[in-house]
Amino acid sequence: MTPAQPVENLSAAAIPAVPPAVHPALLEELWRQCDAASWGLTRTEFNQIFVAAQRFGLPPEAVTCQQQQAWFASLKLNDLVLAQACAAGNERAWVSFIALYEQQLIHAAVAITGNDTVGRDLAGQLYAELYGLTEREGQRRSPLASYKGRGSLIGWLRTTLAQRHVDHFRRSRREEPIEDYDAPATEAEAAPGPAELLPLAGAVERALRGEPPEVRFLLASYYLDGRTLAEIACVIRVHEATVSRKLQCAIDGLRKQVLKNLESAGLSRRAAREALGADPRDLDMNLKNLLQNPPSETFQERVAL
Amino acid sequence: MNRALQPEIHPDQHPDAESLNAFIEQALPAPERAQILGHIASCSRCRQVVFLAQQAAAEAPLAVPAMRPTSRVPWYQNWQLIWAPAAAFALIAGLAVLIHMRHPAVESELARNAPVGQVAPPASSLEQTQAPESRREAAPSPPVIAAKKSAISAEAGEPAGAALSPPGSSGAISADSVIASPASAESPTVAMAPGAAGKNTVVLQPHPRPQSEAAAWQQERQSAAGALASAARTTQATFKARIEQNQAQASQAVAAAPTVQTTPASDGGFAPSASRPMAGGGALFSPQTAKLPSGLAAISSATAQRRRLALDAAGALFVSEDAGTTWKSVAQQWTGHAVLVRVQPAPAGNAAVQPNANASAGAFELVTESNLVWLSVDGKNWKAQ
Repeated sequence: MTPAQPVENLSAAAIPAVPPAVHPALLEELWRQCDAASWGLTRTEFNQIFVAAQRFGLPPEAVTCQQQQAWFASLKLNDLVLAQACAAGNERAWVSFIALYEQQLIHAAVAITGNDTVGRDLAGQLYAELYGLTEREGQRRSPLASYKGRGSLIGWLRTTLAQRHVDHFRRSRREEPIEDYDAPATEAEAAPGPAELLPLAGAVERALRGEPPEVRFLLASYYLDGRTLAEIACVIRVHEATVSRKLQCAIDGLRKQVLKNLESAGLSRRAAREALGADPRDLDMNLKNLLQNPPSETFQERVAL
Repeated sequence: MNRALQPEIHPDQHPDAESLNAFIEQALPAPERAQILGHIASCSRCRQVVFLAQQAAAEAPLAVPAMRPTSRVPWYQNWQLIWAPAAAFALIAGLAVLIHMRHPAVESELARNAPVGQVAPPASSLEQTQAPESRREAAPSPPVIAAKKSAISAEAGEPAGAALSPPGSSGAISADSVIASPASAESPTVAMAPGAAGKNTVVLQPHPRPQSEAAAWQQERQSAAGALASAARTTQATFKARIEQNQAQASQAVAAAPTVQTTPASDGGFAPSASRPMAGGGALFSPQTAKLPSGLAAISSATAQRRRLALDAAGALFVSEDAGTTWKSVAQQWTGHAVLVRVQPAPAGNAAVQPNANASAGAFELVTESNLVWLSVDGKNWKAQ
């Protein structure tokens, strides 16, 4: 079995025949920087890779050589060339990829799944996908073709593994028997609460929707997902104490905003404070939905598969 | 982990692995990062993906080349640099010890003690052989006072001290009391020899004498004790008995460990210490009165013919070819701190050092504080013994 089709065929089939926008002098410099010859790439294949990479994110305003050079400097060029060469079916690139990333892939899969067997299975499945076993429109396609070099290749592999695992877990959980499935209860008709609780629910909803994305991420990660301060700190690259401080500020700000919303709804300050002392279980509102389903922008899944 | 994985259906589409990975690695521009953050704040699936990928990155083995951290280690965490302050500290400590060992206070103390016996022994040998009270008895004081002090110390039963009275005027006992210390055999030997003109020559010999020399010295000392006893008999009978008693104790102590050797003068008595020269040769030379080019007092000197060597308190050696009129500094060729210069003693077999013989030999010895002896014929070129 051969990996996905070579670069020439791939570029001829998938990439429109546009003149290379990359400056020839810059292309020559990139050829020297990437040491692509050690992976068995020819100069033509290398140029084709960057013609394709240009489509992945080279801004149209980057017309000068310096602008293009600055843009390419922000990419992981070595990883990009290796991934594109592997996606194109270069055997020497695959040998290098296996030598560099096979064990790391297994380690990452085991760390993500928390189980050695499941992790090795997950890594094997992804490895098969990367090799190009999946066909689309009669052509083998590799997810590596979607790698654009904005982050490291091993990071991209980890994220892809995590996506596969989460998607598999969610699918398998939905297939479990109903008695074991801890499905959220259907929202029953809430009994009409006290009159003062109705403006409180509206005030909380408005306050949550008005929070910035970072605050909503902190609240959702800490209170809904149950993540620790250290885990959140690793994601947003701040110290744990900073996360704790931000959480405290977010809660204080939410409280003030709810009070303000209650006062704007016609309650006195004293009545608003009394309303804040109500039992949250009496509120007819779903905080999970408020935090996780705001009217936000959507993303286009651009995975190659 | 399963707690965090919640089966929810998200109709919205999600950012791809490229964007999420770039978000994790902080490789996104600020607007796009805020966009991703806004999405994962509301999307539990992408939030879980981000946390799982971050967890896998944290658990990745560090030995993998691709995961090698690119950030440099701060300079204060580099343990190799600990050698620099450690070496500096060791250097400072070494200098402090060296300065302490070369501190002039010790030499100045020796210089103050020098006129008493005209002896400038090494501080270490002095402290090993003499008790504090005994050294106080040897302080520059009138002979009578010294005799009283010696008598008092004898009455107090000091085992290490014995006062000998030379036959002087009115029966006064000189401050040149010979202190016989029950020190060990490793203690330096002190030999006191009177000069030809009735002057005592005091030579410190850092090496222990053999037993035959000790026996000869004991005989000479007994004769000297007899002379001293006769002199004391003319002045005070009771004092004589005490002196004899002390002398007997001293003889016993010396027989056990012969550390002090005294050669009486030809006239059977000791001259006052102030007029006693430091070395043989017969010339009168007081180290303290000599003016050396360094400005320091001389703690030891030796004279052979007309060549004279002097050692100042700092350990510097000077040579004079004209009997002390003009001095020249001698470059240090020995190791350690010089504490004594003397004329080379007579060959083995002579119980006492004969100054005239030393002068005729013309060779000098220089003793360092570590009891190393250096030899020189002309006083300028030295070599280890």
